[in-house]
Amino acid sequence: MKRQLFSLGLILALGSLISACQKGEFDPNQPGNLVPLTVDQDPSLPSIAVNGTQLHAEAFGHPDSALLVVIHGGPGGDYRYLLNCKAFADNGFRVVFYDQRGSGLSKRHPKDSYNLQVMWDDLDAVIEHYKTHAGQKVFLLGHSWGGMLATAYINAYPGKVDGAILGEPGGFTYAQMREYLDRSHGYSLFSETLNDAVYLDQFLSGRGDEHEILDYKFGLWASADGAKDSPVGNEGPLPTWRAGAVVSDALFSIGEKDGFDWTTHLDQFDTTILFVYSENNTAYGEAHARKVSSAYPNVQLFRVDDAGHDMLSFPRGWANFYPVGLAYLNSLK
Amino acid sequence: MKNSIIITIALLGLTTPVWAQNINWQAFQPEQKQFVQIQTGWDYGMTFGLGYGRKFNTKMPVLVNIGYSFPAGERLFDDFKVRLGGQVEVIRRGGFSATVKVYSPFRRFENSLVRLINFGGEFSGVAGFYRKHWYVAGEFGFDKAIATHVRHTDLERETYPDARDGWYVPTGGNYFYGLQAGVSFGKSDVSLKAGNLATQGWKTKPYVPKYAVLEYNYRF
Repeated sequence: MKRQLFSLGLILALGSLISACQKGEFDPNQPGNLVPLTVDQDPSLPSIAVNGTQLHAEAFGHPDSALLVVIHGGPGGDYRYLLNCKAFADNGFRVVFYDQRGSGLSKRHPKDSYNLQVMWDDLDAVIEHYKTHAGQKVFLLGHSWGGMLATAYINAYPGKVDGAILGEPGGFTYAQMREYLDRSHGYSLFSETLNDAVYLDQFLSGRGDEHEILDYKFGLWASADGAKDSPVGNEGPLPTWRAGAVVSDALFSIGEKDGFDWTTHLDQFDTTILFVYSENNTAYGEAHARKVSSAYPNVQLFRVDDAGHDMLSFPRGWANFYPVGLAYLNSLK
Repeated sequence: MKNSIIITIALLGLTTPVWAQNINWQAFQPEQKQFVQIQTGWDYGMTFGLGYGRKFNTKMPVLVNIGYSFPAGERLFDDFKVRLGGQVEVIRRGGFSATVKVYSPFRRFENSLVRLINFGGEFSGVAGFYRKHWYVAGEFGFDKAIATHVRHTDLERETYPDARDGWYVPTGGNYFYGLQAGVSFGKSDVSLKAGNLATQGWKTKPYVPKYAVLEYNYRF
């Protein structure tokens, strides 16, 4: 009797599965199923071809105006969450957005092709692509990892940049970044957020270069930053196009293996930078902001009230930041 | 492809109507044919579980089991795993014993962006030295996510409106390998297993590439 009941239950379960499968079966690694197409797969997307890759990119404002290159976080984020910065185009700036190599809607590459040098070579190529004349000023606006990348670029080429806005970069040395990451991912062992993030691993996984399923999973995982119990203090999940899991993994692995120190030539950059941090990101705070920004000789430190780590994305943070950011850029234009 | 999934799952269920866990075969007394079990530890999250099993005294001992586990969190029932399967002791030479385990997990996951339902297949082997009151063994296995049903929320559709809901086949798999040890006293067994996880292809790892589970069995 027990065996019969068991068999009946199994048949019902299989019947449900067969019925469900008949409604459609998809390949998780087929572009477009779980994540959107990238610029090399969809020619209708705005893109530029630079430095041996194809980047999702667009620019707003008069082409001859001072350049403001917006650099998103991650590694592995995209610029959708920074589109508020288009407002600078209405005030005399040529605002350039691009998804970094392997991120957002930009072209994917094999994991072993990513390194830190190629990331700032891409940034250099983006600047050169949009520059229309030799005297055109160049400003960088980097958020989180984007602020780290901007600083690595300034450290390498102090003479190429006329000013920078940096929003809560994790750190300019590996030790600073590790310290911040440990605090910003300090979830309780029993929290829904932590267990949601790690429980996914038994449902979705991919080999090293299976970008679609890896990006999809990374996007679900990254949504933890919008959780109520996240120390970073955001108001909710960020708008995004598509995460870049492989480039993120590659760059973190390089950082862990080799470390980094992007402060070695910052003393040659004597222009004041605008360094912003948020009131609600308890993992960052004024102390970390002062420590990280101290590598620059001249710093305007500004706390964005009523906002978390992604202070440039949500209405209250943006409203508090924008006048200060615009005044800073106008002072150097 | 569709047929292969169905056949695989059917084989998992019909040919091995059992579910596996840490067992010291030699601790079972002849009159003990059933057990209940509780467990806690790190199994893709901080999890808690319970189960029931029955042992059959066939030529090669077979153990049938079903178990339910869930991760900690504010919403206790949105994520869970039910395992149906079992294990067969295929070799016993003195104190040495080798066991083959096959079972099929049914899993559910939900967050603000998506709901996932997954049918999996888990295959593993355990071999080690067993005595009446203790054992120590090594294990190696593979947990395949055979078919996963994906249903996106409106919030996820704000990110990607064209994301397709439906069955995705397959959606990956993870290897696991480690050690386990246990002690038995009276009608009770306490065991601990711990080890590493690696993703299929060995190129990537789960976010926390470790597992460690403490179990208690009561035999009757």
